[in-house]
Amino acid sequence: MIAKTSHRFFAIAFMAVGLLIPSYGGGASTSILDSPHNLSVSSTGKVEYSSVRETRVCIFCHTPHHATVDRSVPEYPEVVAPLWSRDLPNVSTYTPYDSPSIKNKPGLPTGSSRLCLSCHDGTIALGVLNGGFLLDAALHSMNHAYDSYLGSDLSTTHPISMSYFDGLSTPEYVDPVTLDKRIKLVENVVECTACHNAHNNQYGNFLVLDNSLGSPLCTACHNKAGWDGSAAHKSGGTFNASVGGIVSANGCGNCHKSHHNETAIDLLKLSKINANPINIGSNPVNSNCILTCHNDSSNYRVNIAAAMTLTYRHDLAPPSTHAVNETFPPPSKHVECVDCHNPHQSGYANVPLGSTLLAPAISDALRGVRGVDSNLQVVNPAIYEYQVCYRCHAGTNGSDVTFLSSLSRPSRVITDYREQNRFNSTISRHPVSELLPRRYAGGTAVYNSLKTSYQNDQKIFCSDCHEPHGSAYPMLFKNSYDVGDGTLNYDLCSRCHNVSTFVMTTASGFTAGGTTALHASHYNKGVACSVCHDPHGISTAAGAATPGANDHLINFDKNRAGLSALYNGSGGPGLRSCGTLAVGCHSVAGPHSY
Amino acid sequence: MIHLLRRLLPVVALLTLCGCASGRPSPVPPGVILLWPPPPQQARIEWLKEFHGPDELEIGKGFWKRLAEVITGEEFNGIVRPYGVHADGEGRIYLADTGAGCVHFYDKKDGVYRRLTGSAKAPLLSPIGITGDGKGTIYVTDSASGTVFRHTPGGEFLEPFIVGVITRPTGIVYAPRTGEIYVTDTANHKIVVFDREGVRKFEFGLLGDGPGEFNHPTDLALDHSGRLIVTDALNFRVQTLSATGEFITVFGSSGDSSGAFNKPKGVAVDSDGNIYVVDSLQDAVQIFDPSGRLLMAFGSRGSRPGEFWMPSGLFIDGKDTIYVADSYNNRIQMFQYHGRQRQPAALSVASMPSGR
Repeated sequence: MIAKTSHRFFAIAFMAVGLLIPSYGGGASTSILDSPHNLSVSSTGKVEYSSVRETRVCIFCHTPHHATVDRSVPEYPEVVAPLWSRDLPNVSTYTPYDSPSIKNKPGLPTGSSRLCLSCHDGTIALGVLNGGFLLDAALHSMNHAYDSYLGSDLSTTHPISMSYFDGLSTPEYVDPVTLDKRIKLVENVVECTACHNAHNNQYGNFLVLDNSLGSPLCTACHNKAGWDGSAAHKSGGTFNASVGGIVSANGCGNCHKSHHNETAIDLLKLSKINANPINIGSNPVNSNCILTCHNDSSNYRVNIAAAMTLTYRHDLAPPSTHAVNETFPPPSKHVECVDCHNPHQSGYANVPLGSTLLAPAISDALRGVRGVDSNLQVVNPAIYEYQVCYRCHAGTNGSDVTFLSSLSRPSRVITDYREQNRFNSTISRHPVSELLPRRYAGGTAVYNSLKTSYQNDQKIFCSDCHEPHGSAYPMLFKNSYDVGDGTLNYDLCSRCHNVSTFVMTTASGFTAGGTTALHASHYNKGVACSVCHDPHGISTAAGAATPGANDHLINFDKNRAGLSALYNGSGGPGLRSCGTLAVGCHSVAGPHSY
Repeated sequence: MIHLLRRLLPVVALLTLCGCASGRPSPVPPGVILLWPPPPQQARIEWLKEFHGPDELEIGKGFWKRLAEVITGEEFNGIVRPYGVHADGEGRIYLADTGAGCVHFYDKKDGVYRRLTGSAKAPLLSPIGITGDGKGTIYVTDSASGTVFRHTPGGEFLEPFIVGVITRPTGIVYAPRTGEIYVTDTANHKIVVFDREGVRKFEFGLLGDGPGEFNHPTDLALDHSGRLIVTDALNFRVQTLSATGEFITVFGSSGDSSGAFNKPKGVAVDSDGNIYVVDSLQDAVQIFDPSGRLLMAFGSRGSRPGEFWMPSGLFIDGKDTIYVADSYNNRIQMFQYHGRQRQPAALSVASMPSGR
């Protein structure tokens, strides 16, 4: 049970605070004397600029370079030399053995970062803390040796002491030549000074520029593709103006935190299960998106957390299953939010059904994600909605299916879970990736069973029938559709088809002698649509044959029509046979009653 | 059942073979001796070894643990970013690992390694200083949560021991003579003294640069007469005080050359009373005599044995073995102090050993 108010408050408070580290708020003052870096003994808040002690403000970081002088005999001041090795004051006796492969580990703090880290190690000043509760023992929070390779960043803090643009392979970074001049790289190396100016606390946290509206400090270097006005996380969306305002101000800080993260991957905050988990049954939800924000319906358009409590859902994978650049098919099939949504590009335009978008073009919610097309080639980015679904539901990934054991589902004569084969069927299919194969009779287009406004050459979306997050209906259907559980309810088909005024009448052409509407008589005898019809398409690759055996999406459910049920639709009306050689619904051709 | 055993057999065989493998080869190539000062001068400090985790100390995982890890996956037990070290001189080493939020316990005597953490209710956020009473109880300061934790033998977690009294506890040292525990409160520039029950007895120190005053003091050590040595970090000096906090002597000034302090951290005393101070930004350990005269320094920046990268904590045990927390090299380095009477074994330039 989600404690809605507490989570809502938590989420808003979280966003409103922005960065979590104790924030030394900026004032108007740009002087180090008014900042927490005034470490002199007389910095008690009372500013006494005339005090001679104020000259010692700089010494804590700017070390004087004079050697220590021994003035015990004032007439003969002596440079102090160590008593035990007068000739060699401070030298290591390491006889260098030549090994060209020995070099300092990548990303060991260098330059000004050493200075910062020598105080910010938890003693003189707090440093990087360890995350809170570690409920998942397999997920350790380590911030060890800063890895300079951004693609496999292991630290819980923004990496430092790495070259900017040396070996970076993605184009999503601003050219260092055009970087904001306040971001100081040291010979093209990112140090603490890239984001922080230790002398000047006017913006708070000693940042070099004001990061409070839309994270301009982050975007000064990080140029994520698609992070523009149509990205809901940037603009704040249109659903709730006050929440949207906070989201747009937080910018990158909605999801990322540059220091002190709970887990390391992608510097995402709250990405580790915390003390207040959202549970589904007894399993805590593992998703940064849901834990941070998308868990109620008054602030966010879709309450994903609620969807995840429904019986049928895309169950979220344990953390660290998904890898950003995983190849298809991935080593283990999984679903995380980022498998379908690109958080930097995702928007709201053109969803859901009924928008102006023409199928199968992709909606803004799925913008910027890779997909797999009907030929099993990777498309980057996906341009059709089904390509996103094909990441998992096509090819070998598609055949790798597991179902809920409680689900009663059809067992088809021609079985193929590789969806690209079903929607590519040359015999019969719903028009998701291809238009209908044969839709002209006598030269005119025939879409009789559809509602008037849909009677044209158009495709449909996967999400016209399926609800991708979670649904009370099996197979993630949007409405009820009897899969053989006896409810005989076809609200799903009625979305597009004229069930009562066409399908169930003699107009459908499924008649006995032109007078008895056989769909209706089958229905009245308790035969569900799914007993005979297979809605995706009948896979040609798996044996859908011509002529006529699999027309009209006929693909019998062997659980109900009999193990060797056959359909022969090649004869004209009145001569089709749903007969079978052995056991089935009908053992001989022609109209039957039983 | 037999089927299961048959499937496990290759696993068991593999693990046994793994167990037979010896420890890592020495990182120091043959013929290189790490001594300071270098020969032909009389050697005082000798490099012993380094370790990043229990393997280099030859504390292996037990057979059953390795078997379990085939299923559960290897537990990471390496050092992340160490600070405080404490050794009891009989092969037991405790290490406060700030980066990993835990205390590593290496017991060479019993061949045991344990990773001690706080509980879920009271996690260890930023462990810094560590000390022990010589009977198995250890005390750890957590500078972020303002708590001093304690672990008693047989306990599972580190439990909060002193809560809410100190704002930012960092250095900590146990005085065996009096049973008192000295804890530095860095944010309030003072040192607070507790008894073994955690009751505050007295405190001393205030912000300033005069005698007995501090500016962000950090590490602590005791010499053999019970006097307290304090790293007065932002006054760039080391002060010696009596056990009750009276000022005795001070030395040090700010600078980046030998004898001066750049960012002093860990402090310790050897059996001859010499004071060792780690300087994090000089990447070296400086040695002073009890009156504060510079004797020598060892170490420079790097990752090879004998080099440091922003070292921090320091401890010297009763046998004059020096433990340096080489923080950003994720390791502890061990050295041996050879006093005026003792000399290291392999010293003569003519006799080069074939390796370690």
